[in-house]
Amino acid sequence: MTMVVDVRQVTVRYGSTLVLDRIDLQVPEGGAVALVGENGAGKSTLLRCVTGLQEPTAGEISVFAAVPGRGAEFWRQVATTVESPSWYQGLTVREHLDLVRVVNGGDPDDGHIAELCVTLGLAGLSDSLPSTLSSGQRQRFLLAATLVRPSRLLVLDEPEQRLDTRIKGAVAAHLRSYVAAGGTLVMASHDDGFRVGVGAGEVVLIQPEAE
Amino acid sequence: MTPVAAPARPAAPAPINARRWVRRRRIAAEGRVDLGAVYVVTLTVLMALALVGQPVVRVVWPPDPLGAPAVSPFVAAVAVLAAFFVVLRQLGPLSVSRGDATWLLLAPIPRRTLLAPALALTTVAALVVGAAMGIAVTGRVVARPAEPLALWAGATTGAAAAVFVALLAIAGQPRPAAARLADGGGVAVGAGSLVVAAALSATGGYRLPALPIPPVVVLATGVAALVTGVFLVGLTLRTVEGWPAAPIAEASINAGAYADVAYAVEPSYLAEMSARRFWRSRTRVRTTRLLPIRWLSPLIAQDLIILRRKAPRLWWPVGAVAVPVYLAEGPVWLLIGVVLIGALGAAGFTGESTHSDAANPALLRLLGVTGRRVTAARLVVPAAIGGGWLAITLAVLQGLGALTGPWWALGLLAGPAVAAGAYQRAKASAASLGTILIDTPLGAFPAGMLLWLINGVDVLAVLTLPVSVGLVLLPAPEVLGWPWLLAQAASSVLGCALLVRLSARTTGAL
Repeated sequence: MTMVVDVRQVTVRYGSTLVLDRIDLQVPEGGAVALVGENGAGKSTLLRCVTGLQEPTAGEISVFAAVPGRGAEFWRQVATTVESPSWYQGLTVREHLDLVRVVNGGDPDDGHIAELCVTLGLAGLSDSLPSTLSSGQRQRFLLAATLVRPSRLLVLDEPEQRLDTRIKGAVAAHLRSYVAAGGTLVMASHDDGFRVGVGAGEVVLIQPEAE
Repeated sequence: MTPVAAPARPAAPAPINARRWVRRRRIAAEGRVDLGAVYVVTLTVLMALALVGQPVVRVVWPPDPLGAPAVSPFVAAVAVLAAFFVVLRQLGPLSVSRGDATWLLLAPIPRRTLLAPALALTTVAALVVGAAMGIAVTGRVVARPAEPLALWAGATTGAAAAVFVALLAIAGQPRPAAARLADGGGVAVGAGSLVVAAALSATGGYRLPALPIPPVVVLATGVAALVTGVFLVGLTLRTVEGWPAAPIAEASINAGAYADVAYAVEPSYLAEMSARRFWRSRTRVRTTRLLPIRWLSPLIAQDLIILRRKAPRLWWPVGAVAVPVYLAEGPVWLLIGVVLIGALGAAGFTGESTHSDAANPALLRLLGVTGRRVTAARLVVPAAIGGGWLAITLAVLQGLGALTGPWWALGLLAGPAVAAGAYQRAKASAASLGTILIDTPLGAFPAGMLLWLINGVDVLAVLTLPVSVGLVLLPAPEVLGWPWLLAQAASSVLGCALLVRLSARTTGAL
């Protein structure tokens, strides 16, 4: 089976603090994995390494059989919420979603955006400028922008954060159908019910012992 | 259940003591005078005097009066007052320090004690600006040797006018809706008077008949108006008690950000802050359907949307078309500078997206596009705006008889070259350009700001050489020939092609 994400013996240190200690993780195409663990266990750090936004101190990472984060081809296949973009101040929420979908070769009028906006409770915010959104709305907006674009691998950092129960269920169902359609999902999560709803396998990260 | 004692009614606070208490604590912690601040202020004043002292004196009081009294100085005075109004509105004008805004603004302390320093500062600024403006106008309409009475009459009338403008700005602060209208009015009056002054200078000016009013009457009127103005300022201090906290807090945040700009010598904050304020004030934005259009590149559509939404700000570039007209008969290097910088400003109209992508490329990664594709698309709309601005400006100069030949076409062809300069400028911030310190006889100065000031202008100067050289070599009646157009077209194409070629081939960088 081809591995989409292949992490071998990855170690990350911030100064003298050991964050990840010789971690292995393999996710096949069409697989879904949730990293769980307490705060500081290194979930977000591992996700950043998988997207190539951070270099591990030691170890090997390959995504789609290549070094992650290099070149346009990688970012055409991978969509992530591990970093928060500064939105274009003069474009509305709907225009951002149109832009992301059109630039990635999708059709903005095929109903996908409208459906996602309803799922994420953004339907009434189409004409809003990003600076007027609350932090919870911004989280849903980032999730929508990540999900409207075509991708083969989703890397999501606690996608259930700040969502109410109804929306959480709808997002879980959306992610489950993404994986069922052949997409691969790696996420960090603190919510067991959400993880089960998505159908993601559990990978427990434990904070390494201080040396 | 344990009874809970009702909170005691707080004793009426001793208002002035709170500020005094904070000040005493600060002095205890940091000493009475911050020597660093004294040094910075002295250095700034000395540098300013050395650099601009002499020219400023000449502007305010030219050695020779310019012939018979004309209308133009009065129109220029209106433009100065409009600009003063806009600056005051940007700063508040009544604001407090960020610390005071956090701790004292929401405390039960009378607003009067909090805002009195800001009000005094605003009034003094109005008096200084107004008096200088009044003297400058007098210096242009009064024959030499001027009698001191005329000078005093000009100074007091100018100061009174500026104090009333300051009062208007203060009155707008707690009324955001009315103030937004007044802001638009201020910008329109400023740009309008620039256009009127240009038209006057182009048509030879409108001469005033011999001054019909004796200076004593002007002085008496000026003094009466000034006394009324200062009295009204005093009355304003009473009304601030009823102001809501929001406009003061917002002004304090803005003033704090301006202080950051000055302190960190990072002028690109200004553009970011002004953009944030502008977009926050847009309340009736509706989603357009430009992005899904198949034949239009989405990144170009994005610039078109921004252009459409920023239309209320088009006043400045439109008014700026008038500036080169003043200089048509002045030194040619100044004309070239103003023409090119004006074009660069107009082409930078949609530069926010590029600036934001350069600062945080996360959205570019989400879009999955290469830096080259972004660069190529982001040059199109600025090229059209910059080219259009240059074409109109050069055509106006041609209309005045300063130039002959197809100059408007040269302007259009220089559009892409201007866009390349504007793109280069939008990408950088002063901080990103480095923090090398330049040693001056008066102390070290961070190079970031100097580099930021010329950033983009260097690219522009090289790529628009045919325009600049043409302005030097071909004043009317020399006719601009077609080879000049070819040279500019080649330079524009080469500049844009190089810029695109040098952009990142990867995603997440420009």
